[in-house]
Amino acid sequence: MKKSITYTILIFLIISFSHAGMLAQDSEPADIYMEFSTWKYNDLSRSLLAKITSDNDEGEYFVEGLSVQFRLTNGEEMLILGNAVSNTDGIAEFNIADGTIKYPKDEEGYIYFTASFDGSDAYWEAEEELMIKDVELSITFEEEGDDKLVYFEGVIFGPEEEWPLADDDLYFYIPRMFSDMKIADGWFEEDGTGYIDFPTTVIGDSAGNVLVIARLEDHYDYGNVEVSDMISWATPKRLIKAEGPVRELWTPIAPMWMIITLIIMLAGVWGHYIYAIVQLIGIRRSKN
Amino acid sequence: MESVNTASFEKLREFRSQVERPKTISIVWIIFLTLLILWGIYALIIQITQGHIVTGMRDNVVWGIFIVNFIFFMGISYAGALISGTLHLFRTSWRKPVIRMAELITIIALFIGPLYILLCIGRLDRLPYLVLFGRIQSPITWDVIAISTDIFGCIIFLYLSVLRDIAALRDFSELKIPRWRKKLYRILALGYTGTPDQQKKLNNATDIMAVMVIAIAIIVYSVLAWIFSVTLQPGWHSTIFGPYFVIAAVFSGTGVLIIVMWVFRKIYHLEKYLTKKHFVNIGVLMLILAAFFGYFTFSEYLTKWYGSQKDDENLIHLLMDKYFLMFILSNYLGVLMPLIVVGIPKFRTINMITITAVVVVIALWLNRYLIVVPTLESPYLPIQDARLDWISYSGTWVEWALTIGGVAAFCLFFTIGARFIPIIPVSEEKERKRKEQIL
Repeated sequence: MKKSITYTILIFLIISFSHAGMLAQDSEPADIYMEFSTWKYNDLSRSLLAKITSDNDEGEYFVEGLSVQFRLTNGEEMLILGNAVSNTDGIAEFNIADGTIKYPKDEEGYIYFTASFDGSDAYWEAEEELMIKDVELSITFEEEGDDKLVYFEGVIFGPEEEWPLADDDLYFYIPRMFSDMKIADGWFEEDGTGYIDFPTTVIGDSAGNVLVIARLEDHYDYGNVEVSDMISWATPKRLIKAEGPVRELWTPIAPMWMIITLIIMLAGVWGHYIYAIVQLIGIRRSKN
Repeated sequence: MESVNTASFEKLREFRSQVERPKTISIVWIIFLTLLILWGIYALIIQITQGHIVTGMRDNVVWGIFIVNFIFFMGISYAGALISGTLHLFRTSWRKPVIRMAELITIIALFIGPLYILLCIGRLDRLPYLVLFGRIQSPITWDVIAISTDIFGCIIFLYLSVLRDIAALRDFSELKIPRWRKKLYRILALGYTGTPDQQKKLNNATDIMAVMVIAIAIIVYSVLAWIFSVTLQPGWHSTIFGPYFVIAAVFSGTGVLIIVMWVFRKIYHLEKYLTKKHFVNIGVLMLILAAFFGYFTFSEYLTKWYGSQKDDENLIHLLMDKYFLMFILSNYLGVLMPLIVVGIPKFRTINMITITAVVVVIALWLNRYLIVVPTLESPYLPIQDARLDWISYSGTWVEWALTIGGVAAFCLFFTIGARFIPIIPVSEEKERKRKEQIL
């Protein structure tokens, strides 16, 4: 009787634990959140970026190592562009060089991109769509008297024709050590052009060269589009020599006070050592 | 001519079993310690062949248990020097049974401590560069100069302190020791027979070196503290680090001294020489140092906490969160226990004082860990894309094996040292006259 009870408990425990193990294995995949954006650069190439995040009890985190498929769609047609794997920042990036693809556009000029993840044991599937118009920016530099002006122009490319990018903002930046610094806001007139005054007080390289970036940012119709060019209008950078004493650790010779202190201390200590050794030698010599 | 050795023979008869052939239990103890050292050597081979990846040290937390051990051993060494130097200089009446142990602690710890620095270095082949291309303005160079000066000074001081006993051992014909040891005693005794001239020379040299070892101990441990405090790191950049380190060193040293006294009292039945008075006296010293240590610790963290600088706040948060238990054990238990046990006469027994000393030694080791590791885990700039084990440190078995190996080496050298020289000085000196001369 006792044996049968023991066996029953054992079987119950084994089933319970194995069931618990199965439950553990059957844990739900986590939700992921996808941000889909596009960048168009100077060389007319385009990047498709899908940023993937998820969250747990400790908060939001980037999901690394997910394969994202990028597609181009137009009505019933679909073109698979390719796949990219998300990096440590959770970003899967797919680059399209200029001229490699003829983008299909609808009547209003929109191009439709799709980014999708098919799902895995750890994460649910996710898909995002993006519709943008194809825009091209250009900037030119002109000096008018003492004024230094940056002229810009924006053109929207439709399915057949093109038209000016009008009544919109364009932001100007120059790169700094940690991020780009905004130097001016521009405005597209009806004819798709505009200009800004270049602030010549910004610091460039030793010759005054600075990279000027004009950028449409996260635009609902155009995405991110930027164009840049180098101009020598900035204030040349000059090395400023530090005033006052330099830090002695970097100098080839130690400061005089340190050398003097060390000599006094070491001479004092080792002098006494020598005295003690001399006494020992004296003991040795005075032996019977 | 006065032969000081004749007067010492009576005492030497008492200690002859200590310096003669070791007992079986001693041999077993030595084998046990040797095995632990061999385990450490095996870990060292693993570290050399596979690189420092086998340790917990990484790009951000570049110092770990090794440097903690280095500070710890150097601390107890300086404490030994300070205690033995002070006791000698002031001719304290109860010093004799204690002074030899303090001297041995000084020398042995001074040889083991710097080895941990070598274990930290990835490119040992570049070690000569420290001498060849060292810059005087570098704190590392200060440390190299200071430690080598200290080692030399402590060896001279120990040698001067044991010279009379070596001469007594040379002259004690009843001693049954191998011939090579007799020869060694003869060479090391330098022909000392206790003539007035020899005594004068020896006393002069010993007094001078006692002053020197005290001064050097303070300077050298301050230099070690400055290696940290001249660095602009949260938790290290502090003006009180020099005296704080010196106090912590002597505090830990008194703890080790009490433990050593207790062990030798038990092994060699030194109840006649190491009385409760010795334990209480060193215990009171430990109590005073505990109070000073508590004061410095409180002052250090209070100013950081009230200043509320972002990086200091991060460090204090880390200490109060991840290292909370360690912090409490190190800075509360380690301070309060000596105050209570030694401060209240009822608890002031030899065993209680020794248990307190053990707690103090552990607390002080943890204190050094809390100085080194959490600071390196709190860098000024945020670390992007860093793996968790680069930011967060924990010692590996290799580091622990080498730590245990170091402790075993300390015990082994102490055991061997005690076999070579009587652990209680046996030679006599005309104390009163000398004291009058000095004062």
